[in-house]
Amino acid sequence: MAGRQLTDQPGSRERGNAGTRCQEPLLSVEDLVIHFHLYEGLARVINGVSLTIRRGESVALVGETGCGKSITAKAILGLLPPNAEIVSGRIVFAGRDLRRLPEEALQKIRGRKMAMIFQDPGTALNPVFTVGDQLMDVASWQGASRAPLVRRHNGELRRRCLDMLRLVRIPDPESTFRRYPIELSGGMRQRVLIALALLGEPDLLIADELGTALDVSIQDQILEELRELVRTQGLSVLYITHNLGVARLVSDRIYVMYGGEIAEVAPTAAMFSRQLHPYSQGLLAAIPRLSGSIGEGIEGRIPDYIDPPPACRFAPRCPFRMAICDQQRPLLAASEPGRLAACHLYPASTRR
Amino acid sequence: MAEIVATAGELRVTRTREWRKMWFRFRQSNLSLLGFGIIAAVILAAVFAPQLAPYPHHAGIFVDFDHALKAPSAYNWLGTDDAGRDILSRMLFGARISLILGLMVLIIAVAVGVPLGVVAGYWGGRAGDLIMRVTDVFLAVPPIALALAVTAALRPTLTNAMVAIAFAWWPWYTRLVYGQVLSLKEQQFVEASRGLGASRWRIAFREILPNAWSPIIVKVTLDMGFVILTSSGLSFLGLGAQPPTPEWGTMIAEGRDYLPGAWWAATFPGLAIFLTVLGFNLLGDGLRDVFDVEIEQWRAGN
Repeated sequence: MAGRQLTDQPGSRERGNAGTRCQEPLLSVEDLVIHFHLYEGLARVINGVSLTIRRGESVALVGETGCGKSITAKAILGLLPPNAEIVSGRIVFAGRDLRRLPEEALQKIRGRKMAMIFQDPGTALNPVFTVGDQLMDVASWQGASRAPLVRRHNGELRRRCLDMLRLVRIPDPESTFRRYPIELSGGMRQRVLIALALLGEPDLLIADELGTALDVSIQDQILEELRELVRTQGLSVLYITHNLGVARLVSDRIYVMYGGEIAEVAPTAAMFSRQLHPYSQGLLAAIPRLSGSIGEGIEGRIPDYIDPPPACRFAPRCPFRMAICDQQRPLLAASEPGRLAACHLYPASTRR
Repeated sequence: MAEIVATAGELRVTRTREWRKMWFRFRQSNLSLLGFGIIAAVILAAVFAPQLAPYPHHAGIFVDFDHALKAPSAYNWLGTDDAGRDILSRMLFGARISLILGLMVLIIAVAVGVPLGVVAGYWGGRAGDLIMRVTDVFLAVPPIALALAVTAALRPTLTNAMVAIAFAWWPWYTRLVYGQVLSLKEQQFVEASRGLGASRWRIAFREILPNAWSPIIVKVTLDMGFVILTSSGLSFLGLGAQPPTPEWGTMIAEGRDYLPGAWWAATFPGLAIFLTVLGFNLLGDGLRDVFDVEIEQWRAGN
């Protein structure tokens, strides 16, 4: 199916026991349904999202603000707010169903097996500690952590942190080590956040709007560096982004999300040559071109999650709306070899 | 690499400059400096009381009725009390008692109040509600009344006065920290460290609490004055330090019988309390100005 050319990334073999089961996805989210309990009523935000990430694969989850991408990522990490409820579905990571694990076990997985890189480098670092303190702290609790106080002053630990700063291409790590976050530029802070995420040697990185808060040239630089790192370390990455340009730069496969559902899945190159789902088409048309023409964008707004459209959630904004779109929910099905779409324009999506 | 990073030497200079900048901001207000000067003087007086006092032995049990209630003179700068003891000497030793008592009370109040505030703010839920409702009950009673009740129930000694005041004081810290934690726990760095696998305890006490220290430090400084005032009040009422302890409140109580004739016996200890409380208030205000600017700058930096 989709992205099959990527299952045999050389990097995936180097990591642990990956060699024996590199066909098995590292992460698979199956038919995830999440509701939010709000004052206004029950918000059916995530409505049956499925996605898979193979070892060594970079996947981008793309959609406009409010489509549920960050909620999906937080559900994977087990960091949903208290008023969110996972109604059904499975989140299987390295063969374990995360929903069945107790909080302590999840906490051990976070940072060590999967780590999140946060979007705003300005606020994701603790302002009152130096970069070195924060790195050493994370390194000490992620290590064997039997005697964290002893390990904190361990020279080996310090060396590891400095190596990590070097790995994310921070010039003069020794000096950066002793600085407070406020003394660093946005790009440097973002690099420190990446270093923090990499310290636990995770298998899966989740990058939430990476670099969105930075200026475009630094953003490109950092994305490029991260892509290189991911390649050499054989990591799997889930990029959460609203920016298709970013997705094109970093991902092997793209999931387009709309209104808490997956609209379309395709390998990155295929997605950019032709989009199946009308929403993906609109999303691409909305990218400003270098020629100066501004794309048309998509009419309307994201759906109301408390009272969503009855069948296809995109129908009210869709230029190809048909009668069936208001009657039957389109299935995410293989409309063409190697790609999935959830749209009644393609017979595979219509239940018979 | 487009970004330029300073060398270690430059970094040291930057840090030193930061301290200078804070000191500079503190100096902007003459009142802050005045507070700093008063408190420095009180601390020096307390530390060097045995050396500074003209008659150090007058601080303890000493009676010399021949020189009772003498007006201020070259021999007794601030006069003598009804037992002929030098008021200045006793006041200097009184500074020790007041400072140590204030510190002890606030150490207890912080040690009890701060962790409770962190737990209530970060964990919330039933336990948090329980902590905050108990706190509210304590806050509803004026601290001096609560402390009065406790000392009245216990034997009136200086130690019991300290325990009583601490008993009345911790809820203020729980409240303060609770509010701080509530807003800090929404910060992204908290979620970021959860995303890196930090435990709840670590997040509450190692990530959030260090960000709440500056208001706590300001409050401790301001409270030093109020605790000293309260303890002197208790001693004045006979529920704290007992004669012949040279506690300022006790000294006022002893001297008040001879007002207005021997006015010095009660007035000078009263002035000591007044100046110390004023000094801590001014110092606390000055520190708040410095920290507030720091916080504003950090927010502006983002």
